[in-house]
Amino acid sequence: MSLPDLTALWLTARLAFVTTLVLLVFGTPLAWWLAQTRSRFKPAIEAIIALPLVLPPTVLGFYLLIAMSPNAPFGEFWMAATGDTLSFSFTGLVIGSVIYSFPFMIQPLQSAFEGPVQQAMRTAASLRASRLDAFFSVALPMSVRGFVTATVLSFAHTLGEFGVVLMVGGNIPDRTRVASIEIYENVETLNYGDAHALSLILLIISFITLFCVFLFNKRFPAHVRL
Amino acid sequence: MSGSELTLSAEIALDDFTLTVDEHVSLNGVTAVFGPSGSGKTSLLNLVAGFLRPDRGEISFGDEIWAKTEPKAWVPPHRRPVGTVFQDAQLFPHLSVRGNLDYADKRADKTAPGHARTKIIDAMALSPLLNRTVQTLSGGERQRVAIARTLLTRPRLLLLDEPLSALDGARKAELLPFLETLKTEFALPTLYVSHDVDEVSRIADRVMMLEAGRVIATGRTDDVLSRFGLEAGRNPYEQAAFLSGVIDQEAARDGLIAVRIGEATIWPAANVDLASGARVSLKIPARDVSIALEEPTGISIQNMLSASVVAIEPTKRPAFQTVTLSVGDQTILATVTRKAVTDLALAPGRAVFALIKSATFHH
Amino acid sequence: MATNFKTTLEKLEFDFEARSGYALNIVSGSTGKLYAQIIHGAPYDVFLAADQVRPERLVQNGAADSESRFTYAHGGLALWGPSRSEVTPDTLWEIDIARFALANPDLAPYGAASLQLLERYERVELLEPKFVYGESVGQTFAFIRTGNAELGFVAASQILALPEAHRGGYWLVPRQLHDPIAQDAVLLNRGVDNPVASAFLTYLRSDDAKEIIRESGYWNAYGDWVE
Repeated sequence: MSLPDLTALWLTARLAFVTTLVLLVFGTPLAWWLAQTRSRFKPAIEAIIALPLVLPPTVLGFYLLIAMSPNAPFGEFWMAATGDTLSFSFTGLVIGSVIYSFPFMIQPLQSAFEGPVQQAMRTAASLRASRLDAFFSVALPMSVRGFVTATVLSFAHTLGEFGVVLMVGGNIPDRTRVASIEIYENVETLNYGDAHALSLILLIISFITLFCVFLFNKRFPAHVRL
Repeated sequence: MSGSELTLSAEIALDDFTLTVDEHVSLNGVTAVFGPSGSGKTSLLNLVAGFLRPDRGEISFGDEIWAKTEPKAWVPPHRRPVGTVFQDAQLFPHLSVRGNLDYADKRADKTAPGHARTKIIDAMALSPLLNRTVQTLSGGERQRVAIARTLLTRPRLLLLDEPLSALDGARKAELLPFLETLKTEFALPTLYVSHDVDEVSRIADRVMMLEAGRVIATGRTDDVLSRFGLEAGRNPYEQAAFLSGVIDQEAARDGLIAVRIGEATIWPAANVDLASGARVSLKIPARDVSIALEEPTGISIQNMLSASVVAIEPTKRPAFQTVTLSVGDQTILATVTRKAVTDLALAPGRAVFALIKSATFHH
Repeated sequence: MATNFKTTLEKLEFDFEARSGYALNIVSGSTGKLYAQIIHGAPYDVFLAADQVRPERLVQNGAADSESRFTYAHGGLALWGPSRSEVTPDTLWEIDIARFALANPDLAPYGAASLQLLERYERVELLEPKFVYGESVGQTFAFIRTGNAELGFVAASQILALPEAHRGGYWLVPRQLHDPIAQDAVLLNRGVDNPVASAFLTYLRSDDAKEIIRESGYWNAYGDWVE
């Protein structure tokens, strides 16, 4: 296997890692809010978060391409702040991937935080735990399964991302040429040998990742409500 | 705190009615908050614990104001010296018995008067259970751990929310002595929520009787109970019917056993070890049966049977009526408010859905 | 039919149908995908590719009539900067270009020609850090049109299809500066007995058709740029 293939794979892993980290940081408070709010905006917000599940990635990619353009306010701000365009950059890909994988982080976390965990938060309060204390001492340990599922799904989903990256990436080696794009290019140029090698590696990584989740879920069953 | 008072002078809108109280509860001994399901008992407890905010009014403990709307005052739940024991124990599933006790111990206000950890563990007979995971405990054992855990926080007021209701007869009998120990050994001012005359007459010094969000009577236990013709062993809310069905192991799910009643299936909360095809009898308390005109969706109640109204009769309590429903060739009873009978235009022959909140195996 | 030729073909179709009374059924897509579909038995009669490789391969595989293969157009390359009033070869020497778009040279003949031109001017080394690659010349066009890249190489036909007010500055690259972007047509086996297919290929070689093709931004064997 040739060297550029590994570059693309390494870039893909970095993208998935950073995306998952960003999603954890922003997704956890949002999922928490959704799990306990009675706001009338909740259904609308849930619908927006679920949009990437049903929209073709090209729609998202197209809107991102327009939003990230230096002609648009956001893209212009970015250009002024960093001296570089947001499209065709690693940061741009992270933003695209975060939006694209959002439901895969939020939904498992939200359902992990609902019901028994909210009741346990009350119980913790009755035992003198502040909300922050109770979140870390009760809600987090009770939601481990949800965190593992959310993290792994987001990571695996980003590994396989293609449409958004194709639209806003610009195919720059070591920067935006991720594995899925590289595979596509190899297929288009009838370079089936490299396409096979890279596809197989991606398949194996994805399988191992998902296998670990199912193994984990089997060994640590969800805490039944008592 | 003896001699002092808990001031409950508040109003809060709930789903079906507005809970309105204006009571000064003596902080001496056990006060039962007594009434049928859905009368607002648990909401009242949540106001005291701080899980609900009153729309108007004031909740004070002695001269400490815990919640007030004019001028605004609020003490969050974890700052109130209140210990709550929930209906279903609510032990933390990720901690062992010892871990659950440590959780409370670590966060207790050590400057407040309290009892030694060993005394509490002995009183609830927990020594042999300390290293167990909470999943392996029986219902009664769980409640004992929950009570001990609450005592470790050194509360000045104890709230017990139907601590016996999740238990069957034998387990209830097992736990009752511990509740009496709790009263005699620890002597904490207690609000005890219950709908069971037996429990109330055994444990409570005073009764506050609730119906549809209003306090309809307060006073010494004997006085109140006899005034309403309530005696131990004859509980108006414990009216029940029996349904016979057949165990269907194939429809069992999520650890619940399935019982087929004609075409329908219900999943009793309790569990028995029986093979498919075994005939069983289920006890359906009338207070745990609700009536809907259309098949409801998006509801946590899993057990629904289509039924038709056979008869509507008054109960001893003016606000309630007993509806007899036929389910196939069997009958069940539902205790509903008179207002519900009018609002739903219930009449004999009317097709309805019976929503069953609980069903237990009758031996 | 390859996507970059779409608007031109619509004009040709209109003219052809008016003259012959025959009706055409057009399927457009990337040359690579259409090629794969034909190999797997797609019901097409004529194939207008964006390159020479795919039609040649079809002939070799026996999926097309070798006699029928001919070059119907040479793609015209353009350097495009829609936000500028004027674009000339000198624009390639400007140093403050943030992003420079071109079609992926491995995937698209337009991309290969773009790279060739930049090599000829020795601009590759300096511009390469600013390169963004479109998967096709269509995507490259989108990068520039949306402002994500300010300058780049696209097909002349794409610019000429825009209303004049939206074209901005562009430079039509003289054909001798890069290898021809030859686009071949071929009669597929299924179309051999179809009189409409033969009639259309004959029409495509006619002067009237050549005129329409030339006006749309393609070179052909006879003419020069017509604007």
